[in-house]
Amino acid sequence: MEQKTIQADLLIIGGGTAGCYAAITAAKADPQLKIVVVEKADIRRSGCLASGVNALNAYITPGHTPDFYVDYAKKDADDIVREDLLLTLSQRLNHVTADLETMGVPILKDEAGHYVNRGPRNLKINGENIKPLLARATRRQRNVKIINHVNIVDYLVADHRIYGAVGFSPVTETAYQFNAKAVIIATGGASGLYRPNNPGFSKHKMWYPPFNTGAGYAMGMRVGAEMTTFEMRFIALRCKDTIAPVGTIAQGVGAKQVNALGEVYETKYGLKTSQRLYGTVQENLAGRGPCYLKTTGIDHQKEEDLYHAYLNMAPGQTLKWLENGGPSQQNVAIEGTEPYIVGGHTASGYWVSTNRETTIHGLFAAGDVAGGAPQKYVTGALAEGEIAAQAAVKQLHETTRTAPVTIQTQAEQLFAQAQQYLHNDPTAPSIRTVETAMQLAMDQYAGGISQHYGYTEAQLTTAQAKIAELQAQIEQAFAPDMHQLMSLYEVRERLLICQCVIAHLAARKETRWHCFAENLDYPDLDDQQYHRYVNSVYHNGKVEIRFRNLVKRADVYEHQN
Amino acid sequence: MSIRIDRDKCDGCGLCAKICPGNLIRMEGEGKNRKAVMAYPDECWGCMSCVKVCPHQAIEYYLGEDIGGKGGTLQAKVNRKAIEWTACQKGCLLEKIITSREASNKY
Ligand SMILES: Cc1cc2nc3c(=O)[nH]c(=O)nc-3n(C[C@H](O)[C@H](O)[C@H](O)COP(=O)(O)OP(=O)(O)OC[C@H]3O[C@@H](n4cnc5c(N)ncnc54)[C@H](O)[C@@H]3O)c2cc1C
Ligand code: SF4
Ligand code: SF4
Repeated sequence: MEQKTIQADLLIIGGGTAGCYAAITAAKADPQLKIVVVEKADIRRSGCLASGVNALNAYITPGHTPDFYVDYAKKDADDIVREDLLLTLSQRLNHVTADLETMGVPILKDEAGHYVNRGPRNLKINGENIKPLLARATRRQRNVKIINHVNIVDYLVADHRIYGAVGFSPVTETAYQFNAKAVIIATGGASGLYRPNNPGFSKHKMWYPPFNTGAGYAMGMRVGAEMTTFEMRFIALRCKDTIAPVGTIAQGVGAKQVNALGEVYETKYGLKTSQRLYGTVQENLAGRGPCYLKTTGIDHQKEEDLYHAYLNMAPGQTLKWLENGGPSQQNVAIEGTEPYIVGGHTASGYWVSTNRETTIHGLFAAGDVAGGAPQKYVTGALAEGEIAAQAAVKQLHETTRTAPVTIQTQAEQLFAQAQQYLHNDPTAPSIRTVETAMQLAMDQYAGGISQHYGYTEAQLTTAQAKIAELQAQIEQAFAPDMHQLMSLYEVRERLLICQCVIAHLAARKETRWHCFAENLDYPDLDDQQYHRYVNSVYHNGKVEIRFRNLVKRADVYEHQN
Repeated sequence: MSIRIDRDKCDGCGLCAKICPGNLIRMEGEGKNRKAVMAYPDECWGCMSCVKVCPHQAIEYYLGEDIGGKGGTLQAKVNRKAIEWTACQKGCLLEKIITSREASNKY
């Protein structure tokens, strides 16, 4: 295998929403810095934004303040948020939005030139082309080098300080070593942990990108970075089969959630994100399913508008309507997805300081990979990219350091490990077999779709035992080519994340959020014990839990060590 | 859901293989026989990036039977101002829709 070494002052892993914006910010802050963005696909269409988005879900509309946004996110998550993180990102939402507009993203305006909001926090846009536009703005920075098609698998770390990362091409036989003085991790969240809605041919027709497999979380765990709130899983309420968003139908044409009897049920269970989902699960359990969005009877114009809106973000839904009859004739069936770990919607991810530094010195986190700040969406990810980049640049100006010699040995060990996977016994259980078994174990024993998201301590113990077995198996799996080597690493990292999720679910012995963490042994809220964060550090093969007190809004949180 | 590539329309430019966020499309063959191949049909996310980037409309998108696909396909022809979407079913046109790239969604 060919080996390439790349030097950077600042390495950004993951050229998605947060990663691209971090690169732009750092490049502008210091044109002398050598910045490298490394991406597993191509930054023009990678990650969450690939097929387009429909709205900007986080914006401070006229008459509101950043505190209003913090209050909303805090209430939705029943207090388990980092208010310092939410406040600092909320303060930047409007200025990153203006920047998106200058990049060329169309934002709907009224005749007076003011943005038209969709509810108190959202703006209407045309988000089909958002990623190519963001990528173009990134490419325009002269001191940013973009390296597409390299899948990063591990960090290079010594004494809790980062010195770079290692990755492999999914296409050619090339291994990469990146040496850097500071690193921003922006690889997004993790999908594919649980058995998906459509486990057959369309198994990747999921909400969250099936290619965001949580590399950032797993790499952090392996070097002992502290993680937070992995028990707050995100489960989306989506259109059945196509897993397309429902908000556009609900808010666009005012469609209500109804059960099979035609009764509106959403008001019965509450309007928090988790309660809307819980209501749907409960109606199904009570025999009043399936549930729908009531769209029948909408006029022709509205139907056409829906076709257009979905083509700009989830084209499969438009095709489904065209093939099977449109929403004016049939209500749209809805269902909950499998659980994801995604720090842009819920609060799971790296435990970071207010300036987004992780507990590994020189490693910053932004976007869905960073914890503590739910409801950040596109604009929040951009805002965090900016915060992380500014802090990283500042640190680069203030400190210099040289990598210890052990870093080179580490890189070589990682290359040797990849060679091992490429030469493992072809008759060992396949990567796909291990993946399917993992998803099944999580589904059945750690609160997946088949369990209506609930779990017991006894089940979690079984889940942990099964995941441990599969972790041993994946080390023996055979990768016949570079693409499959990527697949092997993806399953390996998801298994580690599963281990962390299980430990966190077991540690929060209460039910604070329905469905997201539905602990059947402890069905009630326990504010006395659990009005605090569940954090963890991976050490000697075990996920060690540590509880931490809530950080206040005005605090500037810094790590103690 | 997944995509199908028409070998006869493909000129081997490789744009689709580069753009796919899952690295699912592979270029095979040399010279005039260089063609794009969907290497992992059951790993497609359905993001349409490849469909939109193909300069020759050689790629079509379809829903798997397991999620209600009934032989319908969707293609896209992109220019700077608009995307022209064509939905067909078993050789018949279902609908043509033009979405402006400059206008915001109404919803
Ligand atoms: C389908 C969908 C629709 C959405 N719609 C909206 C919406 O309408 N409005 C809204 O405000 N928000 C929306 N969101 C949420 C929003 O898009 C995300 O929260 C945000 O984009 C996350 O940004 P990120 O940078 O953390 O992740 P991403 O933008 O996904 O970036 C992660 C990047 O890292 C790369 N990567 C992953 N692993 C590796 C690795 N090992 N090595 C190298 N690179 C790697 C990925 O390829 C990707 O490019 C939507 C999300 C999804 C999934
Ligand atoms: S639709 Fe998206 S995921 Fe599927 S092959 Fe095309 S680019 Fe790849
Ligand atoms: S983009 Fe179209 S023409 Fe180019 S390689 Fe792909 S299928 Fe062929």
